[in-house]
Amino acid sequence: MTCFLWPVPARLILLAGLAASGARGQPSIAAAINSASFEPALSHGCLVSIFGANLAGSTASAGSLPLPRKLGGTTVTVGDLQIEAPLSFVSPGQINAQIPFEVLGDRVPLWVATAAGKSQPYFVTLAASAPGLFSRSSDGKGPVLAFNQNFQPVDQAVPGSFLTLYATGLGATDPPAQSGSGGAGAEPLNRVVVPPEVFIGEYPARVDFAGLAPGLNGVYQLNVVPQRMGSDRVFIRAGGVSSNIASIASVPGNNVGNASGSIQALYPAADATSPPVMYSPLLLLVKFTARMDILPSAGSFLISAVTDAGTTFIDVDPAAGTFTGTITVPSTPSRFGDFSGAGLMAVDFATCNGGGTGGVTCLPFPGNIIPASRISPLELDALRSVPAPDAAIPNSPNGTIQVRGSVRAGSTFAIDDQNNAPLAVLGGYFSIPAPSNFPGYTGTTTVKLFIDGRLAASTDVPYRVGFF
Amino acid sequence: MKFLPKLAGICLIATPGWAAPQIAAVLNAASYARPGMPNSGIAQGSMFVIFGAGMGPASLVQAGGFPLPTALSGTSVRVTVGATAVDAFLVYTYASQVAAVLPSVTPTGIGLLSVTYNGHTSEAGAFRVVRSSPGILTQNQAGTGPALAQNFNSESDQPRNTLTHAAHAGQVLTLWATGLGPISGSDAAQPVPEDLSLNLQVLVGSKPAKVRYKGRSGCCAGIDQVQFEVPANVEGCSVPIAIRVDDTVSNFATIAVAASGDVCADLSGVSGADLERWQAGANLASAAIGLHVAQDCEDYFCGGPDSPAPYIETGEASFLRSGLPFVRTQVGLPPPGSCIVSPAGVVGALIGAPQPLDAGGVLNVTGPKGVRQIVLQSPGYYSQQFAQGSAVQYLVPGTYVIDNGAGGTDVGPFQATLTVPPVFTSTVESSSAGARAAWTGGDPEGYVTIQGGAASPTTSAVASFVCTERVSAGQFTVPPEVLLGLPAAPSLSTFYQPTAIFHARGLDIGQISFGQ
Repeated sequence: MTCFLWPVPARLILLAGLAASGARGQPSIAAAINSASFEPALSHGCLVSIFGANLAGSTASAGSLPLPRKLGGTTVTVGDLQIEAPLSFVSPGQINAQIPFEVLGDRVPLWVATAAGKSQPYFVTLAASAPGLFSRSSDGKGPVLAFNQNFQPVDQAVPGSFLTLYATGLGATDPPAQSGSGGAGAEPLNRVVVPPEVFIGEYPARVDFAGLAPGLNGVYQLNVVPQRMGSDRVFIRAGGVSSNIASIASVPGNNVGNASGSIQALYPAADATSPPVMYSPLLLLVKFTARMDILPSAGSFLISAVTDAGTTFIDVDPAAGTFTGTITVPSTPSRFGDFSGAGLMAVDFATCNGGGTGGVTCLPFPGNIIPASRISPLELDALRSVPAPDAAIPNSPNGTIQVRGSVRAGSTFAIDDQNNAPLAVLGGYFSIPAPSNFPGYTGTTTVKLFIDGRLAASTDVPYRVGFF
Repeated sequence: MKFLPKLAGICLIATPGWAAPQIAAVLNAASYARPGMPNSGIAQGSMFVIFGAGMGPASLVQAGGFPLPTALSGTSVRVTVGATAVDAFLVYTYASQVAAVLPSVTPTGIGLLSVTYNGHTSEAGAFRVVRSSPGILTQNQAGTGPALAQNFNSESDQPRNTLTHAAHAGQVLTLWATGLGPISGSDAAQPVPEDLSLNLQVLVGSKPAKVRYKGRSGCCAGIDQVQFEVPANVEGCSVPIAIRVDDTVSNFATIAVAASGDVCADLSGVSGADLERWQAGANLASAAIGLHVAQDCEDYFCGGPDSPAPYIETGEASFLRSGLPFVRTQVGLPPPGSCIVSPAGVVGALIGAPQPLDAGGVLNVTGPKGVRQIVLQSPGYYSQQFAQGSAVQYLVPGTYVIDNGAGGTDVGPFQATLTVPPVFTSTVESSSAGARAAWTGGDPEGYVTIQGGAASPTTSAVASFVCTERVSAGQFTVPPEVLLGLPAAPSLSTFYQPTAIFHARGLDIGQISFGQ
């Protein structure tokens, strides 16, 4: 076996700052987010990007490790003891820093101070793990930053082949890391304490190493080997927290010909403009079709439709003459808006208040149950078109249905309303992260259909959140 | 940024490294004061606890004797302040919790604490080392409720202060605590009692007590004793007690003080014996009858200047056999003139579900405006709306008698009498300079509840407090030890609810109240 541990390029660390304009007044913080995922999830030792105004008098970057606690006249302090954070980059509009490992607590204040004064506290929530996966675009979206065993960038993942990924927010390490310093370059390496799962193509990859990258501050290296791929999605789960979802192409198989498909978002695409969705989690329902010719010599292959909210996997085995489908659909309680047994919180956006540097405060629905009067009629119509689940997935509002059938090599296999209709849907609820501009937030979630490793269809489903 | 050279040839196969300890919190072992609270610092020479994961063996291992070790069953704790590193003396170790004594020689300032277990060391966690930060040990081992205190009767007779072993004015009590301050000797050895030179006050029911001793206990490393005399004119089952050293105030615990006999009396009228049975998990039969006048709106558009909210007059009652958390009678209030500070998130344990009692089909209310009935709605629960309008029509000031006729199978016949006093009105003011409430009206023999809360604007620390004062006093100023124990200037409100106690066959406690 050949495997390596290499440092990551500098572009990974130096996230783009806003144009320097010279600090004129007291600093103010608009957001503090995970530097890899660009989402609010943060952990101890995590790289954090702080956005705001007057955050520094000029633009400056740290030249070496350990990182300084004061850079360009700017300091960032975290927690009730106001521990100074290591700084890698400061500018008037953006600071890149590390949440010090030493900070204790799960909801802590963060301040920025310059010669012009000190900001109001901005509260961040810290978890033992808050994984963020670095992507090539440095915003946590799109192709994941991945390298092969020769440390060459790769665009494609091959089951059984080595990959190195980079992340932040994986928390404590053993032996412990020093805030502001890089990972050890030789054994004992700084392996993570909370083991991460790395999903590549929806299936857990084998994790050979997870720990701080040598010589890099706050960046974790993941040496992994994909096992099987049902999509192009890549994400991490650690300590029960999932990362942003990036992508890496899968290798097309040689089992089908003339593969084609389509995706139709039942909701909220039809409801994306009026009326707006009033609550989170947001229901997503999708219908899709898939058609392919199974080649006479075909081996087993996957058909998969994936979204943030749910998945459908259809495992086709022409040699055995069978296919097995597993589909997520809204569970029976969630069809009635009852999220009392779910692990996520249903938030009533009509209660939101605040804004600005203090963030937005929204209240959950009492009992975590969304009243029927608050569920969109369009959503209810869509729900009626989805099969009922066989069983609820523990700790999830989604249920599953299992479908089995026969298939034959050398024939056409289709999934649509007329043929294998129960397979032709997937749906579920996903929780919208509370952005700073609630309400009126607009977003998209991507639905993708893969047939034997080929992307057969992809659709961005828009949604909008707002008041009546 | 400088990068290390490529490290070719390092082969990393599946060798999980997830065995290192993790630290979540470092707290005073007695008060459990949360980070951000004014008393959250860890004092030199005090006992503290570390919460986390993977810090020790799966089963608790205690130190076998003196001197306390710096390594116990594979666990060690190191504290670094500036350039000084010290090893804490371990009391016990467990996977999720470690207790230790901070050496008195530890410098004050921001300390970095790391736990090592079986050769794996945690990330360092920051906490503040201070000279003094008292914490009172409590019987629930969580820093709230009854203090761990002993009544001194004689050298050989020092029972624990409880609701049925209450202290008396002038009696000496021994209060157990930690965090008074450093000692000159070894913190690992069995301590030698020595009065510490401290600016220390013991506040009992907000009254300063005469302190006879303040220093280490003779038994236990890091554990202090404060011996004091119970001040006069302070009685109750929940008499607040706090230790103040300079401007740092401990957690607020309670002691029981009785005018005579061994059993205290709660402000609600419930006896200490009944409270003790409840707190032990017993289910008791209780009744709560309430007469209410609320100015409220049932629809969204009501309440404006053109549409004032109507007065809604109701009566309701419950007759239940239940554990303490379900008892609707408010118990555990401090005696008039004193306050209890509580940290956020303190909740009682749930003890059993309430069982309804049969007290008859109807409750008769006889008052200045005639007779009304409160009707049984479901087993154990009664309610009735008396009136609704732009003025109070039925529940006007005066005397009300409630009876249940011939009674029911569980509760015998009773007559409960309550006087609804003249209208009570109050004002409150609160700032960083102080907090004060004033009021008029009400029954001079009754008491007012003053409640407050404070959330730090710069940390996530939250605390609340409750005080009581006699209505006849007309005002109340929140004592300085309360304000010092809060993370910010408090918001303040008053609550006045005339109450009376009644008795009946089958009831352990019956209370009738009026709320407006």
